[in-house]
Amino acid sequence: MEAIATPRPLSARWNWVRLRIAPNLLFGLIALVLLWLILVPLGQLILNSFRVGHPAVPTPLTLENYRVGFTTPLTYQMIWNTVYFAGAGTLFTVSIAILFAWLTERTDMPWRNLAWSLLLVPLAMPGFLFAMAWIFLLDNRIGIANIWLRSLLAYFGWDMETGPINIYSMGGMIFLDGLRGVTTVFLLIVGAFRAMDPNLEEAARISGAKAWTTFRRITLPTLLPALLAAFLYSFISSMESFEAPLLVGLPGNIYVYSTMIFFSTRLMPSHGLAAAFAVSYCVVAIFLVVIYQRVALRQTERFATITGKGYRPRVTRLGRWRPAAFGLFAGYFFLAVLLPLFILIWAALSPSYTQPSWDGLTKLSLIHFRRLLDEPGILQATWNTVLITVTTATLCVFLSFFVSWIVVRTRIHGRMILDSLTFLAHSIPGIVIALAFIFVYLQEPFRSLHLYGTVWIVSLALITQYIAFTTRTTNAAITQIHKELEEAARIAGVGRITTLLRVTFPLVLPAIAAAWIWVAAHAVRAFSVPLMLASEGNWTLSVILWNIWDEQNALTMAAALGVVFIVSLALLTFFGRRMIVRAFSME
Amino acid sequence: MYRTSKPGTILMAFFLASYLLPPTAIGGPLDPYIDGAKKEGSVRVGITIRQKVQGKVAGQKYLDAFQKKYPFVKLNFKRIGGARERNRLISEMSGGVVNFDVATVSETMVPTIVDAKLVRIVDWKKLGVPDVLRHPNNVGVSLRTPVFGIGYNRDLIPDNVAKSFTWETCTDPKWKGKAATDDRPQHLKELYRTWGKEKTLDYAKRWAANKPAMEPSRSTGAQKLASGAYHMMCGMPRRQAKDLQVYGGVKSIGIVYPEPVPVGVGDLIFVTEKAKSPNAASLFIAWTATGEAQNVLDDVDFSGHPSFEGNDINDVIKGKKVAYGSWEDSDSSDALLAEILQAMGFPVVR
Repeated sequence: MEAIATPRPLSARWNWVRLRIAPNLLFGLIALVLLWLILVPLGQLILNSFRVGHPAVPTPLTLENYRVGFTTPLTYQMIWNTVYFAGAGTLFTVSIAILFAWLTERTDMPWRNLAWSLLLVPLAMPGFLFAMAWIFLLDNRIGIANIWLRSLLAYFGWDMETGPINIYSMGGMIFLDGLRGVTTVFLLIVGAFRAMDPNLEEAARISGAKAWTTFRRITLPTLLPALLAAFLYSFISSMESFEAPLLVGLPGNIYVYSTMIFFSTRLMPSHGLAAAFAVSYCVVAIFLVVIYQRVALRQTERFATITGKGYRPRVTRLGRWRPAAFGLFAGYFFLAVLLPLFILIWAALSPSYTQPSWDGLTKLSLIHFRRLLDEPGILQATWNTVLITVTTATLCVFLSFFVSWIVVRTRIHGRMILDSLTFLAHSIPGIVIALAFIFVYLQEPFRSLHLYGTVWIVSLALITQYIAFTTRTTNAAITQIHKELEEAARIAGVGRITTLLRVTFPLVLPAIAAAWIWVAAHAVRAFSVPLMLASEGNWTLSVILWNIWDEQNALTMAAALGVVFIVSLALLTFFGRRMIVRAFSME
Repeated sequence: MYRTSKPGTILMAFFLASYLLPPTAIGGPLDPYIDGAKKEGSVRVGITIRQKVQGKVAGQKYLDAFQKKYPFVKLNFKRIGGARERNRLISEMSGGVVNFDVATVSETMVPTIVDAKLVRIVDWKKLGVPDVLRHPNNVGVSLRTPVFGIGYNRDLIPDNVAKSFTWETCTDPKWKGKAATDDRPQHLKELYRTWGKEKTLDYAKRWAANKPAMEPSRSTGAQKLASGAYHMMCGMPRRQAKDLQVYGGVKSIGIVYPEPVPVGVGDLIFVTEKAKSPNAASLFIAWTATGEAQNVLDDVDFSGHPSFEGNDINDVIKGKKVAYGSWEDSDSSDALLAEILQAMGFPVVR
């Protein structure tokens, strides 16, 4: 960290402005931006929940959507399915993520830097291609893994026509959603594992505590804010998870909240009903954010682990368990990336999809990749995707950093509202955010901004969608930095904003870099928001991908574009990882 | 109403007039629109036609056919996709952000565009649009007619077995757990009109007892059928099967059309209220309802109306009993579909 220059003497008035006015001005500015980004579409959403029919034809306000939604017996069955799916999925995801965060940051697992980078790759998989790949692996009849298993069982005299694994089940949904969620939770908690003061654990060890006791009594409670935030985030993510419930749950007659919304909008476009369900999501989110604030943020001081005393994370030696540890990671990577990627590459190279076989090898060609180049608008879509990705990720992390600083570090009245607002955004499904944006930006006064139909409206909607994640990351990172560092700067006469930028910001840079990569990876393959907001001139690659998949019935060409996505994102994560390493070297 | 003269006198007057008057004065009903379109010079069309499919030229041939017929109207085409895009289009047009001269919506969205005053009413009958394609209130004209059948995997079911399929095949326990449907079994909606409520709902219940897997989209279902995940797909649109066969080169997909063959009304295309080129728009829509246009549409999009001689689907269903959908009851089509889905035990929230 750079040394802080000796301050020049300043007038008392200027000092008062810097210490008192500047944070309040920043708060006001951030609050305005958040109100614009989140509350305006949320207001539109609430309004729509009290209307029936198409929003283009306003009707009198009514409670009909709530009456219909919550008097359907199926709703309660689906609520139970959703809670079970989200709860079990979150436990699965968080357990794996904790294990990998510990293995990569706090142990001497071999190739842990490589593992860290590779953990980002699952982000690159478009959700429905990932689910579709697993269907081709585990479909009861044609799933290649099931075929192999049946052959194996037949060898022992068990002849089966279908199965033995049924992907079209609750277990299948949890497995797919859980696998995909690991990277996000890993990124949410890895900063906390990395930045934890090892003196606490060492003190416990010196006091005679065993490894497990130390982990249970010291490590876990110390990481509680980050873990709780990750758990809540993952729970809500699973609640609104769409691809696995749709592609795997639907054929298995298992319905959850998101597929119920899908039904309510698909059969007869009932935006009001979808909005009523989304509002009920928000109620759950408010409940969860209250828990988060009570348990985590009020104990900020207790969990500060980065202090001015200097720290160096302690590394646990795994000894003979080192290969097994990497084996665990390799197993996860095989299931989350390699196996579905193999199916996608096979599909991309096949003239039309057939099960992988030696015969099929002779028919493979690059025809679908060549056809991609002929796809109208692909170059413009590539440029739009890059523009949206960079803008969204950069604005999102900077906004989150300032929000978190206000929430965690200041005593400004109403600061917790900012945190609730950002978390609330996560409770609104992407498709509903996009719908709200359409109606907000097609009407005055926002229509005059001429944002509709541009890449910027897509970017703003994506910021709204992702800000919950980035603020969880920056909240956790700032929470772990003890105030004494900033207080030292202030005692030296440095203003609060300067302290924020020159002391706090460099310390949380690794977390910001991680959040940037996460947002960028999601923005690259964002699907529902760009699709809903697609207009002439702002198409992204995911819109083209959907067009190829759904409108052209071309699974193989869609798979080719999916492979291009994954390769592009592998490059992004490679450079992103370098940024994080560089950030560490600054410290 | 009363007669002013005998039919023979009228006929004689007609021949006399046609001989004496200049051609423009007795031209066809399209002539004023042609003159108007020449002045307008271009038309902006937003409909669900795919110019290319899997790298192969498709709907562009259809657009080219119009351009060839009316070279003085420059066709500015923009593809409007499925329900999501159509819903968005309604919002955009209501907000005045975008406008087309010709636009499209789904059957269920017709009341919305009327209420939102987005439609310019044109006397389509006068422009020669046949009744089977015309909305009774002249809101617009049908395009892309869906014809439903039973899709099957030819590797799992031989063609000669599939030939004997009837709609009852879907309820046969022999195929229990081996068939799929999508979340909008629209063929039942058309059968409802022929079979009546009791028979259709009874059929829906028996079909549901056979545990068809519900697929979230026709594309997903069709692609899984092609790869052998299912033996058959009841109520598969012909276009879905032909797409895979013709553009995807998939040989494993077959489709048969049991009687009565369900034929839906398709998309509605209409002249927009704020059209800058209303004459050219009317000309384009009237052209889509001609045999020439329908046959090209059937060649490239597999969605020509079967009542037109000379197209493939006309040959396929010739002599068969057909259950035609109708715009007359399109307002209640959602209610019909909801009732059917409920009978099948699928979740319906309305």
